[in-house]
Amino acid sequence: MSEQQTQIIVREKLSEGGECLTVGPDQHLTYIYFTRTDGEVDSRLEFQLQGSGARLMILGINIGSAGHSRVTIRTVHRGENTVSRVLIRSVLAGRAVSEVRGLVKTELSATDAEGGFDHHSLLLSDRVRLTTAPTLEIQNDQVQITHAATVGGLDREALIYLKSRGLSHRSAQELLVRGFAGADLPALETLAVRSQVKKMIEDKITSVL
Amino acid sequence: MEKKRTHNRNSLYSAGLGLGEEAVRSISAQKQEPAWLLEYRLKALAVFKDKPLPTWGADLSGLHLDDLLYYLQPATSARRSWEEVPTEIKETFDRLGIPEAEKKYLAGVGAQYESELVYQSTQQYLADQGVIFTDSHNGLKNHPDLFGQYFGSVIPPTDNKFAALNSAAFSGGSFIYIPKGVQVDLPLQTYFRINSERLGQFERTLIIADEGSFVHYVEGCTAPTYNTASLHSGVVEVVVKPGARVVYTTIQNWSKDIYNLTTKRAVVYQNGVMQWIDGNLGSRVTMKYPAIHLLGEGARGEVHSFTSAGDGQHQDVGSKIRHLAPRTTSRVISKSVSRQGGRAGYRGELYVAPEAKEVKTNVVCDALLLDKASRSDTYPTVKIHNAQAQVEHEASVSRLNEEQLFYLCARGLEASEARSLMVNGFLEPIVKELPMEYAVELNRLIQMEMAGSVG
Repeated sequence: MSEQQTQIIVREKLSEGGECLTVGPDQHLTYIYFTRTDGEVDSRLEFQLQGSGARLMILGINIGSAGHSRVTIRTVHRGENTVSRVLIRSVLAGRAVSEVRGLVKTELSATDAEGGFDHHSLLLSDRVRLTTAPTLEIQNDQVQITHAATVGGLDREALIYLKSRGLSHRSAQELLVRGFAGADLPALETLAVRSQVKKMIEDKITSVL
Repeated sequence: MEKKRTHNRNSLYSAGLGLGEEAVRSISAQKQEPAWLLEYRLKALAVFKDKPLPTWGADLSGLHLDDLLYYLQPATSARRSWEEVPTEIKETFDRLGIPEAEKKYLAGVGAQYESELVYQSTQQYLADQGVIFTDSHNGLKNHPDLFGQYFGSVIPPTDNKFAALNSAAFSGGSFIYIPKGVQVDLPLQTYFRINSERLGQFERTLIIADEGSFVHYVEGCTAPTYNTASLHSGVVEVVVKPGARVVYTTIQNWSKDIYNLTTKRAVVYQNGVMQWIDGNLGSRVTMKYPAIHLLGEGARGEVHSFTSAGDGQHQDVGSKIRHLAPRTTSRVISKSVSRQGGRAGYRGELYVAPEAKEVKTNVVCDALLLDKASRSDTYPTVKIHNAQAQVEHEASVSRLNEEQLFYLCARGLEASEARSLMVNGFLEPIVKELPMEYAVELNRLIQMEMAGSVG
């Protein structure tokens, strides 16, 4: 019986092209990526979960005020008892254009597969363009697969509340955006990684607002 | 008033040739259509020939468009005898408790649904309110200005290959106009269009609901509909004027060798409401995505669909909603069941334009996968070009809950009874919106289908 192996990959700037990673039996992979927001970048990520106990967690952070970012994430489940969780957050300001396409696929052999694909987006200007297309292809009935996507602007009431508490408009906005962008951080179990990613998120937000 | 068929039926068929100009001219001449409509049909024919088959969606390789002339038999000319109707269709009618007269109508055996009395009084009731409810041929003939104004305005022939085919070869379908402020409180059903073709291959329906009006239109039925044609390519156009509301319910249960490729779209003006209630049970392949264009401020669109895919079936269905004005709202609920090798998919598009401020939309897709032979897909695309939109989309795929199944069996139900109860419960939120007789038939139908599946 193989030992559980944990691997954490952090991609600070997702580049053009693609990456294909396999998560084997009893392997845990946490993959964290940040998109680039200068120019036009098209990235394709493919993750194959093979065999019992394979676990995948993807945290995607897409924060920008310019550029055209296209990310496609394919997660394929094979073999029994595999779990994938994809959590993506977009914060778009200025003239940013972002496309996020996902596919969660469970093949016939993927009994007891569990999969989730969540993409939440915060739009801060009227000139942004967002496309989200989370797709599913399911071939085994003993699975639990869900996906969710939400899009919205800043909560006006929350803004007013914070300002009534003495914060400037900019500080209030920054607080809300940080809270939104970092909402999936608790899913990262390793505290050191969590604080590292949190800092990276805050830097990105400051540069965008 | 029966339409007289004076043409020689054989002239429509040149074996092995695709849909040709002659056939289109023949249809138009037989219906004595004005020149503009003939030209419209011919232009659509050119578009049809020019466009390629879609490369996405279901597998259409079994569709032989070169034999299209074969499909041009008007449904009422298929004068079948009751003996020729397949046994399993007759058995289904019995088990669903369909009355004798209806059985023959559904099987395409009777020329008319013999219920003259009901028909006459319905027509009088509608006429008194200024409602026009007739077939597309009479709509054009008796109301040429109204027809000409809206026909093709929602779905042009260039929209897609099958809309072009329909635009060239259409026949039958309903033409409905509801005057301002009129609320039609009985559902209009295709049963009552006695004096025209039903179950046609290329039906064309046009509904215009004038300001502040309401109508509920129902087509189809839960009982399997038997027809020799293998391709059904309908077009439905709905115009919802300010403050009006239209509910359009379809329950499709075509026999399982039919390709059902239909285009349905509604345009909704200020504060108008459009609701598509869409049930997909039959056919070998269905590609159908009821669409709503929200053009006026405060307009609302809803799509409620339920889908069942069994052995050999591929239901590729969904919705397309475009928010093109401020404060418009939409809601989609899609429930599908895949079993015994069937494949059901939701394919949706949601678009919020830059000028569509403060839009709210919610999409929920739930899929039940009952066994390992079946497949479920979800393909949504959400395009948001306005920052104040509130958009929610969620989907899930799962199987029947084992604990619930165990509980029901422990209470004495057979496994198949328990499963059908649960599937009915799963579909219930949408089924309860159907007129009651459909809901009852649908429940029974599901029970039957579940009983037939491997326990």
